[in-house]
Amino acid sequence: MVVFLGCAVCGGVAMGLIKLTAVSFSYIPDKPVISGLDFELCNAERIALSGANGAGKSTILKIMVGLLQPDGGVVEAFGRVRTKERDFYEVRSRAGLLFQDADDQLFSPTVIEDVRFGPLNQGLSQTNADIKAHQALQIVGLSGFEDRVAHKLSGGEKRLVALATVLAMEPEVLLLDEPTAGLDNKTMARLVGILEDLPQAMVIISHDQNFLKKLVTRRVNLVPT
Amino acid sequence: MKGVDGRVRIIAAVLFAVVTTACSRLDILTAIMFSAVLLAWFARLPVVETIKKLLSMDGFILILIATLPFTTTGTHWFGFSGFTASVEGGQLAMEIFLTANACMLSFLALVAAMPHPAIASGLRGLGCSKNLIQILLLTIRYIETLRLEYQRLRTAMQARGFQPRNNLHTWRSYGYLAGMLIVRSLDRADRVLAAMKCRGFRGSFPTVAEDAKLTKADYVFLWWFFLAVLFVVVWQWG
Repeated sequence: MVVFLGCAVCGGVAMGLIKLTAVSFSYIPDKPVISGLDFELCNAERIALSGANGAGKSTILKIMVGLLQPDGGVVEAFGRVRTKERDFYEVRSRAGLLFQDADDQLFSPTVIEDVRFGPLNQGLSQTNADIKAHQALQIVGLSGFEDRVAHKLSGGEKRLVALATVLAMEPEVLLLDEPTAGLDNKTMARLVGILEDLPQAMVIISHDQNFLKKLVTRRVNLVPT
Repeated sequence: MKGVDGRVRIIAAVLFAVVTTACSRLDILTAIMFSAVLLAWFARLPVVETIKKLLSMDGFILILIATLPFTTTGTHWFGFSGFTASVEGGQLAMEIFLTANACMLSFLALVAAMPHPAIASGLRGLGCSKNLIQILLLTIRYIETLRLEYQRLRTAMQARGFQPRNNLHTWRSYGYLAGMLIVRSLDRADRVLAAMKCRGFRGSFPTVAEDAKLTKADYVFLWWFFLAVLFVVVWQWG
């Protein structure tokens, strides 16, 4: 007899990476955006997170990496319960969040400085951080963009550089908040190609059904409270 | 000029400005202006753009230059419709004009022509506060985003038929525009900080590479610069 010691949600031999239990959150008191949410992301899963505007999709991603503190419930990441800001330092390094607006993410004057910011924060030396940065740029197909000025890039290039800044930290999980918003078909196809080849587990927020169809393994739909 | 170290260029620009503002003789200032043009030439500044930048600064001091000859007492120079201009006033105006333009031009050539990271590492090498440098870099980075945001709001206003006139509606709308820009900037600052936290930022910036040693070219440049400064100092006060 074979015994599966795995995830209860996907049923496979998998390890839970991020788990939310009975999480609730409200921006305005007594008006919860999320209440009683259970969610689990397992190894090698690519989950589409969908729901109406204002259903709290981005909020969930922010709770996962500790940018927002839930009013109730438990956040577990990589096998440990995380509550305080300090607990999330490690989570942020292992779960990379791609923001909706790339301009929020790219704050350095040049591309290379932005991409190596994460690795440097992880304590790597200048040389190693540069190596990681070059590799990340290569993955997104932007080798040679190192010395380009960040704010003069096109919208699509900014999005890919932002993805590179996250990949440079070699996270185990990718949390993507509307990665296709504002991208043309060509850039979107390029993004799909890049994401398909990545080994990381992902949570993807997107309204683009075509995009999701090509990538995801499971869908989670948020019902408004 | 491109290979000259950031620290050297910043020191040179400061020295240039100090000496130039202290000079008062028109012949020396003319020579200084000429050397500023030379610096700009060495730095290969784009001619048209640089002239535009200088003119936009001159716009600010235009009124001062135009009124100084008439408001300074001294020897009669020329007069029209009851106003008389003095030679001393004219000289003063010329002095201010030359000083401002020479300082600006040398600054453009020595500092502004450098890539931003080079300015930052130059300032760091000179012991400038890390926080101030970061504020400078973030300002450079986000000023364009802010301009785009302003333009988006402006276009949205125009699309609904807004035409600036001198009335309360116009000024109120401009007030809203400015207010909205500030609110949006604050929001963006929050989001940028969140994004930085996600990449492991904990309040202090990772230190970047140690500054390289000064090369022979740097010393050669510095020596020539010091000689030129010494020459001007002796000429003016010697």
